[in-house]
Amino acid sequence: MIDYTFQWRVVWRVWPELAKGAVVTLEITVLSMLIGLAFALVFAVVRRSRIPVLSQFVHGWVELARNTPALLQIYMAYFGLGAFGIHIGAYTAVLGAIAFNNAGYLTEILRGGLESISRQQRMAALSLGMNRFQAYRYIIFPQVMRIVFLPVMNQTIWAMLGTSLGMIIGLQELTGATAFQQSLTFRPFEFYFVAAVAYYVIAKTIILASRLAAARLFRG
Amino acid sequence: MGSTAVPLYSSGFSWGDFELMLQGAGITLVLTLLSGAAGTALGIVVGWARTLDRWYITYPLVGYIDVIRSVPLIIQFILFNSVFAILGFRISPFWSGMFTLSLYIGGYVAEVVKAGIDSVPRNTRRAARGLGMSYFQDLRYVTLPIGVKAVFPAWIGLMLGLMKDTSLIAVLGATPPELLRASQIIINRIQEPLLILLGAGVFYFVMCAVISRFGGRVEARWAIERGVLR
Repeated sequence: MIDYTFQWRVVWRVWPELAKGAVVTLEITVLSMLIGLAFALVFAVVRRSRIPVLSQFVHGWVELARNTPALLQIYMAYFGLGAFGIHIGAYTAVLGAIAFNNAGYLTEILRGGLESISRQQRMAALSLGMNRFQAYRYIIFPQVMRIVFLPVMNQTIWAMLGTSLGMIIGLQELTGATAFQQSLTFRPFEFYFVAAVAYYVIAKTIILASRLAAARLFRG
Repeated sequence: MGSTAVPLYSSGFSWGDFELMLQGAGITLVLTLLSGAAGTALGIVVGWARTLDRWYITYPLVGYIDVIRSVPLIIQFILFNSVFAILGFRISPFWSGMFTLSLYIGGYVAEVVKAGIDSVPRNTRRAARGLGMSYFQDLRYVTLPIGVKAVFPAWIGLMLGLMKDTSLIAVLGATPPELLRASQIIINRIQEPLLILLGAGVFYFVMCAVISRFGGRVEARWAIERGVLR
């Protein structure tokens, strides 16, 4: 019925290239999440503080990040910034765009987490003599962490899958490396199938690791 | 990408370019509506089937949802496209892309549907059965209205995501081009990436706003209905 000979050996032969791509994928995932989280932590607090200009800036950022395709954001970084004389490589463009996107989504996740903590908690902390920073650091954030942990992990998976867009602007992450290798052999199915399995394994590993971490961090 | 082009012909933004982008926005909407409808139908069936609690149904479906959610959409596009080729189906990239999008969003909708059904308290459903309703009457007149209201915002979120994800169909080179691919084509010619991308961004933004607004309207109406009923 199927008139097609599967050839897996051509994929096996270049596995180090694919592994290199996977490393780039993981790198961008971790970095973009760290950068995104750093921005989002500040943004979420700013959004709640309702400081006039800053708060609107954050609001605009969140809306832009959430309402335009990630691919458009990558194009913007890679092609669009050229208009301002900023020329960045594919790696930086993908990292920047995914981090921008992450910051937008994570701000909303963290804001939701902050809102779920009742105001009395903060008042109690302040009345115990803590300053505002201490109240956030020791009372509010530990509770928020517990609430936002799973959504943040979902965002990590999303960021990991999102790095595959790098392939479109020629970045050699896992998908890009796959695309390049298959273009040498014209075996798209075999190559992309292996890449799909690799992504699946990475995603499952992240989920498993986060479950273990959650069980340890938030027990009792 | 193509930045070495020598200007041989007029390279300003023309009316035709604007038309191409408008058409692209239309294609984006068509892709979203069709695959959204097909994916939602699929998701409803899959999500419902998962609540039957039969391992031989649940395992394959969980596998499907799991894979769909753990593999980048780009790879799914290419894989399904080559599967069609291997199986000997002659199908255009556009329709193979549509198929992939439906299957993709269906996996996400299934999770939402299951959450919706699970959100209906067991005792409510037992009460419905106790009143003499059949299984399907309970599903239709009790579980559906309650469950839909619980997960409607999540479903709207999925449709917004789907609209943004249609831009990835570009990897198949599907024709006619959707919004982002159309923008890319124009950029290649007039070399004004910032302008065109901003324009495309505005299009996406407006379409997202329309879908969000629609969602908000529906929820507001339900809230009013609930108020009146009380």
